Amino acid sequence: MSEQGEKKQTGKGILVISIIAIVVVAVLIGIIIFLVVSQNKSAEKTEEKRQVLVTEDNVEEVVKELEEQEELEEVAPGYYTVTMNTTWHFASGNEASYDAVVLNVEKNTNDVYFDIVMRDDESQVLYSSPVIPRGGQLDSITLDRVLDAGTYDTVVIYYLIDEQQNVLSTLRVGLSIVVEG
Amino acid sequence: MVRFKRVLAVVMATSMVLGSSLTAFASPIATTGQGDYEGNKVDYPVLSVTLPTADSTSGQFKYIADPNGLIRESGSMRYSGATWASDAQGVFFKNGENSYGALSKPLVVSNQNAQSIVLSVSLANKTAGQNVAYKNSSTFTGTDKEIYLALYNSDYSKSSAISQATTDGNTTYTAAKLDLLIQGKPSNYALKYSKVTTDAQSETYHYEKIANPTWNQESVYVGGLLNMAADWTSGENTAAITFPEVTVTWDYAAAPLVTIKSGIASTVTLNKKASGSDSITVSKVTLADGTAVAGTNYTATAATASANATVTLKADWITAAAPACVGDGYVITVVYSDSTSEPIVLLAK
Repeated sequence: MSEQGEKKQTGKGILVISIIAIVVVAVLIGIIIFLVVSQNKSAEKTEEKRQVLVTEDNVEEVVKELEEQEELEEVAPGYYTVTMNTTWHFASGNEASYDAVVLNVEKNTNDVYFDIVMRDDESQVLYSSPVIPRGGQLDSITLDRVLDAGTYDTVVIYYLIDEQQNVLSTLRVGLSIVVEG
Repeated sequence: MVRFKRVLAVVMATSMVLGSSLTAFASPIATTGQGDYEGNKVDYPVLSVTLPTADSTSGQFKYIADPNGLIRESGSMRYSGATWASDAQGVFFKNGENSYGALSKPLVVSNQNAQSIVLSVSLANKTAGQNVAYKNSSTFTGTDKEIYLALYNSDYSKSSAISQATTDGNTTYTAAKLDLLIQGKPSNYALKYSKVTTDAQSETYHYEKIANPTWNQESVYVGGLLNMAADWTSGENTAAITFPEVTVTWDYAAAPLVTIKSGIASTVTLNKKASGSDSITVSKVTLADGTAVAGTNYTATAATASANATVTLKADWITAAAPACVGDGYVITVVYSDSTSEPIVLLAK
């Protein structure tokens, strides 16, 4: 009888200690998870920027800063930022170029389209582009004419347009076209 | 009891392991190590150059030809409030809000790249004038109806004028042309590891512009003169006079931007190529001040139709030159046997 009683008591003891141990382990795991999560949150917090509270006292200053920022970023009137590579390669005359890229960067003031013409005979138009809006990009360009292998001296004529596609200004930039095969 | 002690020992050991932030598990003993390739050399973004446009109305390249002095004599009655440069000789470009002179306003070209660019600007005849010929010199002799239209660099030390030649009744026109080097600013770019755009799928190494960069720029002017000794009468009994229309074309290419390291020779592939069976050799290499680099400090290969010219700068010379090549780099010039040249920018990072 005493042996049975002893066994029962030992069993209960094991159970209690196991439960306590499991609780301890669970608490430790919880603490670790909490610490890891709170570190991530604080990292996110430092990346957030605060908005400026606009009041009657500072409204003119804030608006002026915003306007100045816009002015600094826009290209001056009478100018256009050309962003393109000046030599285009084509594996063959009827394929798209594998490296031609033309961007109309955001800071330009107008949408554009362009024509590519032969430098020594501008009546020969090799390509007419669609309109590229500000912030837009054109690549994988296939010429409108099939060219034989060789290097061609051409001119890109940019047309800066208004919303009705009226031409406001033009700009001419040299381009070398290389057809490899 | 023994079992109980065993269980207790296991549970306590587990607690101690999880509670210790300094616990390090011994990894299996490694006998191999795989190297991860970080990536190729990163290219700078597509070339970006800000250029002046030919406005279709106010026109940066439009000019007024007044050989008979009507504007001055009438007190600028047609152009109310405008001012006219007194030293102009019959040709006027609008160079201010309401002012005119013999030279256009400065046409500013801004190089917004890490690479330096070799810029070539040409002023060409688009539509010839009627009974008005181009003169390629600013000095007129005789009484022919002639116009001088030219390009000037910013300090007027270089100029080039449109010219014409007539053979067997056929007239050909040669454009005015100026070549300029506008240095790039590698210091305006920082190498980043992030998404290139907000909706890009993954992060990558790429160059980004720093905040509020400043760029190098050059100015070019268009100017003109008329032969005031000519009889500029146009009417029913005399030949009609119209003045030529001109266009401006901008050509540019990036100069090689070469990263150098002390003690390591550097081979540069140049832009120069020959045509047909010609071969164009490298005559000399010069420093920014024009001093020639000793021939023992480099080797070179010629430009042919199938291969670009190359220059290999020797390791000792690179070591000596490196301190001058920090920041935005140092320009050296390769001069060819056909008297042309091209720049190389050496950059020590």
